[in-house]
Formats: sequence, structure tokens, C-alpha cells
Amino acid sequence: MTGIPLSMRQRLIDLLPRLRRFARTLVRHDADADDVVQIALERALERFEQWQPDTRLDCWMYAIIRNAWIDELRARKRRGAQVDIDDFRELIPAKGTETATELEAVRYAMAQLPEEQRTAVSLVLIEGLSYKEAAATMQIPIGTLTSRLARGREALQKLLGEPAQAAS
Amino acid sequence: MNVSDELLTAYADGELDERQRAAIDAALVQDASLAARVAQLRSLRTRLQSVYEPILEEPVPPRLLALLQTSGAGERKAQMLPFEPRAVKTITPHVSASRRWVYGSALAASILVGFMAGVLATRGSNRAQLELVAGVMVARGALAKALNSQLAATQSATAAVRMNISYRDRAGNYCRVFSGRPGAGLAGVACRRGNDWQLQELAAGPGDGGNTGAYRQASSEIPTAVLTFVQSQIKGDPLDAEAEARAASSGWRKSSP
Repeated sequence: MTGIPLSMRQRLIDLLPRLRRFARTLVRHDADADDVVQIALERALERFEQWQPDTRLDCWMYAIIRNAWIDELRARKRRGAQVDIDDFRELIPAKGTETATELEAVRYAMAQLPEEQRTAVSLVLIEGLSYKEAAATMQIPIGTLTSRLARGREALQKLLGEPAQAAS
Repeated sequence: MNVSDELLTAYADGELDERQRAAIDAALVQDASLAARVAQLRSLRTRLQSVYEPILEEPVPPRLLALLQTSGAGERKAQMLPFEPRAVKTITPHVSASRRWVYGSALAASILVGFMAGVLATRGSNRAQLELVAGVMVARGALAKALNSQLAATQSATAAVRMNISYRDRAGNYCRVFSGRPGAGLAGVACRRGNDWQLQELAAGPGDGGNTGAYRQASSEIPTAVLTFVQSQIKGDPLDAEAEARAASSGWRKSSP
């Protein structure tokens, strides 16, 4: 139980920034994203011996993070998270900022994608995995990966349009 | 050369072998529209990366580091319970009226989604509620009930949710403006889709703007943002009491007269 190699701990520490980034592409709210990373790390430490040393540790972690998030989504669905009308006020954005920042626009657009498309977009376009690596991480055939990626891209393009200073 | 979208995408993603890549390179030189498409694919990637890149520079929260740094028994028991209810400060910016339509009225819903992330409690079903269904906020509980059957003309003065205006939008769907407790100045718009009422807009007033819109009714306190929304979406006039009653009795079906 205590045999988690120090080298693996260190590698995970080194990966943390990227794992947090990946979680943020999946989960809209930052604190929730870190919660997902935390759960994933706990799971990874519990079953570290399942990781195959000849495979990428980051891909293994991406898969665990994604599964942790899917589990959380399912749990929320079961709970039927609801909010009272008296609490609605808290949901209204503060006034003052009149323009949506690029950051908000992009994160909002990402949040509109179905989870499977978002994950594909995130792994390939943000984390920079190859199609093959991303497909293996998501445990789907490459053809499925590319079609999710294409649909995700198309949706993002529609939501975001061209950046203001597009030069093409 | 006829280049499929799929091939072009693989090219932009650096997935092609040397030979295929050379062939596309040649095609790009001859076909400006292909080149533009590749530029578009690449610009999306660049945009995504530039938004998420700064996260790499953020300090890692100590609670995550602690999981990996400590050794010995009991190390994996995190002190903090994930997904504890917490006060969520959403910083989604207010979208100006002109952009509102570009992004769609789901903005309010996106804010709600954020809030939901911090909400664990399930509460009595007799209260006004919203539920997240497939990324859309749908009315539940007392709110759904009020939207279904409460008529502006006959509602009780003490109703928890008040119905203000009912209308049909440009797509022909029935929509209703509702508000919270009198004085709360909180109002929203829900439109009928299938058997659900989907939240389209949500805002707080008063003082949200003194400018009274054309559809503002004497006793209402509907925030300007909601009025602006209605004005941009409404087709024809708001329903009068009779039309509202007819719509309610027909189940708010789109095809009804």
C-alpha cells in the first residue's frame, strides 16, 4: 500500500499544471475542476500499479480525470440538483463588465459542447495529443475520435465565429 | 485536387505522413479556399490554447500538492470534501444587448449551470425550481406549475411566482415572463419547448434601469434586461387574458391558434 514510487509522485507533481488545465476544459468552474483533479489523484494513488509504465502517464491521468468528472455528472443527475427561485438572484452576473472577454466567450462555448466532443477537442487541440493517443485515452476508435473532434470544432466555430482581428 | 474536409483537418492537426502532407501543400498553393479553411482550423486551435495556456502558470493548490508530497498511512484521506456546497461567485460578464443574440439567450442558463455546481441540496418540490437538463435550465416544481397553469388575470396576489406577460416568440413558441416575490425585482423568461419550460433570460431589478419598455405593465417590476429580451423576441402583441387562458388550456402547444 505504501509502495507508490517516489518517482511517480514527482512525475504527477510535474504533471499537475497540465492536469488542472485539462480538468478546466471539461469543468466550467475552477474550484470544481480542482475537485475533479483531487478525486482523480486519489484514485490514481490507490491503483497506481494499474498504470503500464510503457504508456504515457499523462494520458492515464487524463482518462482518470475524465471518468471522475463523468461520475460526478451522473451523481448530480441522480441528485437532480435544483435551485430555489429565492436563490436565483445569486445567479445574475454583476453589472459593470459590458463586454464578454475572450476567455469567457471561449469557456462558455466549450461548455456548450457535449462532454465527448469537449474531451476530444481538449485532448487534441489543447493538450496536443495525437489522434491515436487521444482515441486511446478516451477508449474509442480513431474514426470516432475524429468525428467527435470534427463536430466539436464545427460547433465551436459556430459559437465563436471569427476572432475580431482574424487575418486569413 | 479534391481534398476532403477530413484530410484537410488531419493536415492541420499534423496527422499526415510526409507524402500526404506534400500533396496537400501543393493543393493549398493552388486553392485559396482550401488555404483559408486550414487557416480557420489552425486559428481555432490557437484561440483555445491561448485561453487555457495561462492555467499552466497558476500556482497549484496546496491541497493537490499535499496529496502527492505526503507519505505514510492515511495520506490519501483528503481533508477537504470535494463538491462541498460553497458560495459561488460567478464572474460571467454581462453581455451587451447587441451581443446577447450572438451568444444566444442561454447566457443566464450558463450562469445557472455554474451555480448548480455548488448546490447539493434537494429541496421540497412545492418550491419554484430550475433543473439542468442537457445543458438547458428547465423549470420544475412550483415554477413549472405556475408557468403551466397560473394566469396573469386570475393569479393570487400572494403567489410565490407571478406571471407577468405571455407572448409568442418569432418561432411561434409560447413564452412567459415570470417574476419572484413582489419587491424582489427578480424576473425571467421561460419558453415552451415540448413539455418543458426552458429558461431564456433571467435578471434582477429594480434599479436595473428606469427606462420603461413598451411591454412594461403598470404593476410589474420587470428588469430592463428582461424587457429588452422580450421586445427582441416577441411576435405580435402580448396575449390578452382570453388568449392566455386559451393557450394554457391547450397546453401551450406551438401549433394552437
